[in-house]
Amino acid sequence: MELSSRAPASAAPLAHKGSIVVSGEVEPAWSSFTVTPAITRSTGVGPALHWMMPETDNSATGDGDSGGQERWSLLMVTQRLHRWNGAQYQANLWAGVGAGLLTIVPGDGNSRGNRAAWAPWAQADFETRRFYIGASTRLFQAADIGRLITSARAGLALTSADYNRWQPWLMLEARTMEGLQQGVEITPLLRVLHRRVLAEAGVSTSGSVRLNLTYTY
Amino acid sequence: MTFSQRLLPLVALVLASLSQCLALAGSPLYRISVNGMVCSFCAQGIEKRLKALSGTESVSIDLSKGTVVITARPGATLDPATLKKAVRDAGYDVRGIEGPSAAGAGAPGTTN
Repeated sequence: MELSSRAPASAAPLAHKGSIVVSGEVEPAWSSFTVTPAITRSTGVGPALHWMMPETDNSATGDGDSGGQERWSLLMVTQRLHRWNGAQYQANLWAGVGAGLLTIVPGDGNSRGNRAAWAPWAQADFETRRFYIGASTRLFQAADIGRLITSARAGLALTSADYNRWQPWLMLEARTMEGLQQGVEITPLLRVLHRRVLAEAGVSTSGSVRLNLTYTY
Repeated sequence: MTFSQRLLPLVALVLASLSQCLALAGSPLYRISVNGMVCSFCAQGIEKRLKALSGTESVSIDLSKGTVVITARPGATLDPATLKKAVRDAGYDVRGIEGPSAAGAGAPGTTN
């Protein structure tokens, strides 16, 4: 099931050769928008924008402001390292790296300039027609700021797979976001998918509403 | 309007439908067994690439069986190697290809 070189946890990071996957995620501590054209059946290259809202401004801003934002503007390479296709399952190993700029925008809205940034990531997943399990880790690194986001997911389809009908899934995610949130966040999500569309909505144990939407052109 | 005049559109419609059925009945069918095709989000890429082939009339996907049935345009044939490449470019593996066979005919030969 999705996407782009992206955020902590959705479906496949890349679709078929010649496709373009557009994905957006919105939640209080993190938002992202990615576009991933598949230039081969296993490689995608495209832009990714991530907005992060740290719990408190860190030393990078140097002024102790709160309510600031980090904007990570990256060109991402998404690589499917290997896929195992079975009659009843699909399993994947993914990796990628992004390079670009981090812009710190404190609460007063005035940018404090850009700094070089890079973002390696990796993901493994296994999926049948009724069951999903996956894990991913991703680092956002700039000169003096590092954000490590790690997640694990499991999902169960609520109906059998049918090409002509929407299929609802119940997903459960455990995630840590160093520098953005404390502790482990658990989020149950309702996922629905139908051909080109994959959408998710959930509320985490910390009360954060999360919305994800992926569309394949 | 006479009875025969009223009947004319209906006759034309029946003939057109019959013609379409006969045309499809003569269209070769191919059945591909696909590994890894576990959800519609995966399968739509396979459908898109197979529909892009010039000889394809229609594509039908059965997720529970992991099969894709392609109806070729009347008079057209599809190269199994081309079908296999389309599926592989979508990210999946072909377990086997059956066909071509005429629509409504028995089991076609198998090409692996």
